[in-house]
Amino acid sequence: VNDDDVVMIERYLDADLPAEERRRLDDRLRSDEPFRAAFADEFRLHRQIALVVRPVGRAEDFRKRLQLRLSASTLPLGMEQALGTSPHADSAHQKAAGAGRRHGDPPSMTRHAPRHWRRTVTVLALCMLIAVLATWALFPGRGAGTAILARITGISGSAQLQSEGRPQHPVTDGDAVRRKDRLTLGPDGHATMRFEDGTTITLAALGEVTFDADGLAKSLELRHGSLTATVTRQPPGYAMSFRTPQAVATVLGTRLTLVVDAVTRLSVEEGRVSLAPREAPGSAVIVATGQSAQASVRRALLDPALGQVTQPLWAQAVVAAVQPTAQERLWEEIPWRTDLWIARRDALSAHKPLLLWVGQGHPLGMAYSDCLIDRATAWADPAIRRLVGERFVPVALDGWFLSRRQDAVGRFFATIVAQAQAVRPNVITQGMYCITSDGVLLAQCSCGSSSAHVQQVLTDALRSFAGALPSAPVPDSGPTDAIHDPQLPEGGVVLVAYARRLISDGGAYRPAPELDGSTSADGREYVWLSAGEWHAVLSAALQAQQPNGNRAFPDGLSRKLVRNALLDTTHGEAMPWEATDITSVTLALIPDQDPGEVGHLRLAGTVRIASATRSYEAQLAGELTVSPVQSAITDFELTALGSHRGQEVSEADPQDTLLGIDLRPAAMVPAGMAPHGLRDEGYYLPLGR
Amino acid sequence: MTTMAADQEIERLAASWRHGDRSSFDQLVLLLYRELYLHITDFSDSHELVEEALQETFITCYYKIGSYQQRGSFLAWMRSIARNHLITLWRKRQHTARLQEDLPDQAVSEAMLADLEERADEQLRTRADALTHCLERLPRRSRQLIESRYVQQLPLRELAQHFQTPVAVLSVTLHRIRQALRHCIESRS
Repeated sequence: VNDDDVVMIERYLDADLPAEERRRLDDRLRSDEPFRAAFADEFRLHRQIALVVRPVGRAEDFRKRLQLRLSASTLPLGMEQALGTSPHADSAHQKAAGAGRRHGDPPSMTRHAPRHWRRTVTVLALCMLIAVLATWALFPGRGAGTAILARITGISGSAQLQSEGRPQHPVTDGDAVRRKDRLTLGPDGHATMRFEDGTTITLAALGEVTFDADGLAKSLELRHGSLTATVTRQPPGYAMSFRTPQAVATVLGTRLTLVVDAVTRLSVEEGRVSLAPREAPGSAVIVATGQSAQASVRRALLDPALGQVTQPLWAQAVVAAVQPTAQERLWEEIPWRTDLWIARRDALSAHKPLLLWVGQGHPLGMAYSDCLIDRATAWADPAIRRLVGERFVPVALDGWFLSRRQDAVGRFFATIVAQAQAVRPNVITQGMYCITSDGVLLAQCSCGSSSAHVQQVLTDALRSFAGALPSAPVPDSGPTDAIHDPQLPEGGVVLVAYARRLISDGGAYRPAPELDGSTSADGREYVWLSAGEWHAVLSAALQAQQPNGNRAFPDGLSRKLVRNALLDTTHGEAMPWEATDITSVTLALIPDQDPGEVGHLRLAGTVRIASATRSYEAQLAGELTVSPVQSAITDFELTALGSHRGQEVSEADPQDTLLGIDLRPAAMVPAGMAPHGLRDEGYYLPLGR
Repeated sequence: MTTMAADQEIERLAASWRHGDRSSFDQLVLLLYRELYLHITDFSDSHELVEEALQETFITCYYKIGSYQQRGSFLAWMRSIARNHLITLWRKRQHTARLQEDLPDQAVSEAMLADLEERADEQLRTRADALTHCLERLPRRSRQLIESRYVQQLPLRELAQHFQTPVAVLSVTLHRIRQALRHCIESRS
C-alpha cells in the first residue's frame, strides 16, 4: 500500500471519494489480493477506533431496550409458563408438581401431582390469560410495547389499520405503525407513511400493505394495489425489501413505484433495485434508473390442485405442449442483461469483457432465426454457459433498434460494427461481439455458428482481453433516443406468447416434425399493454359480470393481441399481421356460473387472418380472473389452436400446419425488450385510464 | 468482586434463570453487558451492528437457557452465541454487498467472516480492550489527531484545515498512527 493508496482509502473512509477514484479502488480490490486484505484491515481498525472511543453506554438503558424487544415478541413471562410456551415450562411444571410431593415419597410420585394442584395451576393460568386480554382490550397499544416503525403522515378516504391480535380500526394522521401491522385502503383511500430514517411510502387506493422489520432491515408486503417509495440510503447489510405475491424487490436507497395485480410491475425513478421472482430469489435482475421490470408467478396449468380450471381440455393440452421445456430454457440460465450502458459499467467494475448477442428482433424475444439456433446449440452447451456466465458480462440486444439509435448507445454500437467490418467486410449487424467495456472489439462471429466455433471465439476474446490495456471509464450516456429505445409505459403489463407447431396425438399434442427431421422449437414474442389497455380488459370483465352486461372482449384489444401475438415465431421473426389481414375475430367473456367463483370468466372465440403469403384460422379459449374488491385483474391467459399456412422464412414448412399459441403475463421480463410491433407507430390503442 | 467470585455469581444467576427467576436474567444482562459489548465490537463496524448482535445474543439466551450445560463457562456459551449471530449478520451483509456489487463492503465482510471463523471463543482479552489500552498510550499529538477524527468526527478536509496540513499528508499520518496501534494490539495479544 503506497501513499496514493493510503489517501484513496482515507477518502473512502471519509465518504469523500470521487467516482473516478472509486472505480480505481474497485479495480485494486478486484485484482490485488494483498491490497484487498490491507484495505479490509484498515477499514476495520478505523471503524473499531470509532466504536471504542464512544462510551459503552449504560447497561440499564440496554436492559430496557432489550425488554422492549422481548416484550414485542413474547407473552408476559407468567403467561408463557401457564401456557407451557416458556423456556422454563418444564421447571415450572416440576415446581408445581414438586410442591405436592410429600417428604419421603419416591421420586416417581412427582410425575403424578395431586389433581387439585393441576386444577389450581389451570385456573390461575386462565385468570392471567383473561387479565392480559382484558388489559389489551382496555388499553390498546400499551400491552405489546412493540417499537414504532413508521407514522402515518397523510391520510384521506377510508383506511383501516389492523395490528396483531387487535381489531381493525380506522386510521388517522399521526397513527403509529408497528411490526406486523396491516394497512388496507378503500376505493377513495390514500395514505402516506414516514419511517424514522426519512423513508416515505405512499399507498394508492385499494392497496393493502403489511409492515415488518428484521433488526434494522425494514420490509413491506404489498398484497395488491400500488405504492410509490422514496427510500433513504439504508445502512450496508440492511437493505429494505418490498415483497409481493410474485416477487421481492430489494433496495438500498432509491425512488420507485410498485404495482401489484396479476403481475408485479416495478419502475425505478432513481437508483438501482434488485427484483427477483419470489420462488427463485437467485434469479434477480437489476433494474436501474428509468427502467421497469415485471415478475409474475409461472404456474403449472395442469396442476390438479387447481381444481377450478375451466379451460377446455384441448386448451390445457395445447398449453402443455407449447410451453418451452427445461432443456429449451437452458439458454435463459445465462444472466443476460438488456441495457448496453449498464452492461459496460458492470464489465468495467467486474474487470470482464462484454459478450454482445445481437439479433434482428430481440434475441430474448421473437428472435432472428440464427438466434434460435444459438439458444438450442451454443447456449445449451454447459461448458459455454459456464464460460459466458463466469468470464463475460453477457448482454442481449435487438439490432434493429440499436442500429437506428441516434444517441451515444447507437454511436457506440456503430463503432463496434465498423471494427468488425474492417476485418470482415460482409459482417452484418446480427452476431456475437466480444468487446472491452470501452468498445475495443476482441473477437466476433455470426449468430448460428457451431458450438465449437463459439467456444473458440470466446476463448480468443479472453486471451486478447488479458493483454488489452485497462479500459477507460464509461461516460454518461447522455440524452436517449426515446423513439428507438422504447420503454414499457408506466403501469404497463408485458404478456408473452409462446408458439409451437404441433401434431395431434389422441387427446394430447406434441411438437410437429420439421423438414430437417428435428421437432418444432418453441417461439415467443412479447406484447406490451399500456396501463389504459390493461384497465380496459378489467372494465370489460367487470361489465361482463353485470346482468345483461356486454360480454364482448374489447374489439381493439382483441385485434392488437391477434396482430402481435398470434404469429408463427417458431422459425424466427414473423412480422405482425396488418390490421387489414384480420378477416374476423370474435372473443367473448363468459362469467363463471358457479357462485363460488365470483370474478372468474372464460374467454372463448375464433379468429381468421390472411395475408398474401400466410393465413391462420384458430379457435380461442382462455381464462380471466378479476377481483372486484381490489379492482384488479388477478389472472389472465389465452390459448389459440388452428391451421397455419404459409411462411415468413424459407426454413418453414409452407404446408398447412397445426399451430398452438399460449398467451399470458410474462414471468420475469428485464427492461428494454421491445416487441416488433413497436417498430411502427400506433402500437398502443388511444385509451385513457 | 474478584474474577473468580464474579464467575461464580454469573453461574449462580444462570442457574437461577434456568429455573425461571426472571430477575436473574435481568441481572445477567447488567453484569455481562460490557463484556459482551466489547467482544462484539471486535467484529463490528457500526454501533447499530453491535446493538443488534448484542440484543440477538441475549434474546437467544432468554429462549435457549434450557439448553445451557455447565460444561464450560456461561460467558463462553454467550460468546459462542454472539459469534453465531455475528456470522449470520456478516453473511447477510456479504450477500447484499455482492448483489450491489459493493467491492469495499465485500472485502470487509470476507475479512470479518474469516476472522470470526478463526478466532477462538474463549479468547479472554478482547481486541477492543487492547485497542483502548493502546489509544491511551499514543503520543500527545497523535492522540489529539485521533480525538479530532474519531471523537469530534471531523471530516478529513476540516481536519486538514484545523491542523494546517494537506489532506494527503494527514491521510498518511492517520495511516501511520493506525499502523502503530495495530502493532501495539498485536504485542498485547
